[in-house]
Amino acid sequence: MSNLLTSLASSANALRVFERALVVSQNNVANASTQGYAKQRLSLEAAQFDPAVGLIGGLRAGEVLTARDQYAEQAVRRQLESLGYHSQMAESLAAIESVFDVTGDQGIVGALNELFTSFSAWSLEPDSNTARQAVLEKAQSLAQSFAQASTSLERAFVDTGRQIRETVERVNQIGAELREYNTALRQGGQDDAGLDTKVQNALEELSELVSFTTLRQEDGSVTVLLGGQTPLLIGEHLYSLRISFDTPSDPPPDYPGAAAPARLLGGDGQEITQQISGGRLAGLIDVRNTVLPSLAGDAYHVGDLNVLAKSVADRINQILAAGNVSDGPPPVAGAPLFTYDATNDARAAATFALDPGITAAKLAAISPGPPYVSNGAALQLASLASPQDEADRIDGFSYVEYYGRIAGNVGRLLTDAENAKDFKTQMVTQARSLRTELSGVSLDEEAIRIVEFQRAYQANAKMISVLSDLTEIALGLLG
Amino acid sequence: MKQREMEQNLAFAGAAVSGAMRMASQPTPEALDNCAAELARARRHLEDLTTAPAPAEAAGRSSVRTGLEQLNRSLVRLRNLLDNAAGYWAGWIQLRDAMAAGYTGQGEAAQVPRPGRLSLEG
Repeated sequence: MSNLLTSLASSANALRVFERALVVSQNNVANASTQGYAKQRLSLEAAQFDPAVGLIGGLRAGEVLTARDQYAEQAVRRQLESLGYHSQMAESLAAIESVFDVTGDQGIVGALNELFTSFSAWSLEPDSNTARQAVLEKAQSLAQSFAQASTSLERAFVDTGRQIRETVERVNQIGAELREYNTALRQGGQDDAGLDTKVQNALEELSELVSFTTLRQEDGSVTVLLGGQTPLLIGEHLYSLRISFDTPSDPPPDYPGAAAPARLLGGDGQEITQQISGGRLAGLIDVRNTVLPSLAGDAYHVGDLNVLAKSVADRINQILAAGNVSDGPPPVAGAPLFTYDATNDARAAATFALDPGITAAKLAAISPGPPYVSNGAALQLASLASPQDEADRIDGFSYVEYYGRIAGNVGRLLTDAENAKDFKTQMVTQARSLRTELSGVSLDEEAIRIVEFQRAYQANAKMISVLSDLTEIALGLLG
Repeated sequence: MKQREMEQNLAFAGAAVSGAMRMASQPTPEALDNCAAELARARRHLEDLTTAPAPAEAAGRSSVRTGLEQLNRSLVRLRNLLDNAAGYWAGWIQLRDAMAAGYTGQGEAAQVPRPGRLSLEG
């Protein structure tokens, strides 16, 4: 009789275990399309069997194991960080690139070309009032083009700053959400699949914004370290990230009054800008602190556009000032054509304007020499289009070529960012696929899959080498 | 081979490499086997291309050159995708070994001895 009761008890126990397994399985099916959900499985363990001491054997349910592997999650997040960075770079650079026209018809390069053409026409008729007026008109157009480009870049500074603020705010919001999840996890929610899904989704969103690492504590809570070093969240304590646009006193600014770099501050107020290397925030910081200053200048950079504006203004003014309007007596010296804020080189393009004192009559065409040339100054100005003199160049480039280099660099950065974005999109797909591949697979099955993968990988790697060699040969044949 | 045929061969090779790249985005052993088949297809087209004389016109050569350079970039990308997947598994094995067997005196993940396995399929 006791044996029969033992059998019944054992069977009833097994049924209860299978019922639990069914619930877990049902939950997996229901959440098949839930983003961020990780399949769960119930581990079944053999119960000890020794009827003599009342151990009836059979089956017992182990703890519910999440199939999600932290390693796989980390790999997905790392790729998302990289995708976030390159996506942001591509978006920001596309807006900046539109400022630079390289066709030669519009913008600064178009205005420069037209100004040089007007100098050339003036050199043919140095006394013509019409030709002189045309020079003034084209000079005005150039000033407007510099002003437009500066305004657009200043807008890009402002927009990027706003986006940085919004991103920092979102990072802190996600940190606050995770803090709530940590509270729930500490209160025994470690086996709650829904909670786990929320945590993983929050971490994925965060990884698109900023680079960080996570640590799972024994109580189930998640610790988030920005840049792998600075705490954003430990248990239920949130260390909010902050942003500063104040110019630091050390090092002192080279161009006081110009835009200051963006600086990220950790919860303790220490600067952590250099620690953030991934995610949209890193992309925005790079655009704000490196790309835009290299073009438009900031407190520590003069900016290529300002170098161009200053060089053009200085050289043209220098030629005109060395020339004469009339022979006299006494001879009348020429007046400068352009003006800009000479006290701050980082504002040269923004303040580049037609000199208020200039008129058509004050344009000096005569080069007093020796040798005296009646249209010498105008000819010298016309030659700026194809300069022979090193003084008419910037770093060995003509003004138009220099501008082309600025625009070309922006275009190249944009192309690189777009290519990287495309590639990183594939990497994210791959990382998600690898995560699925690992999820819910036993270690035994996994070992077989890895061996199979290695075989297939080697076959593909060999084939790619052959294809690379073939394309090189084909390129060589083309000469 | 005429220029048009060369460009066609290049286009077919490019399409095969693109297909391989899609498969490498989901690098299961099965997908990688198909990936290798796609690459073999690309190889046939490229071999046809290398045995043909180069187009006489500069414009034709430039077009084929551009196509080949594009193909080269795709191959680099494919290689990176595969290397990333391989690195993923290598990292995971290392981590698993460290979890199972700890670390060596040099601070590296200790290797877990794995018994040999023979798998027969009929």
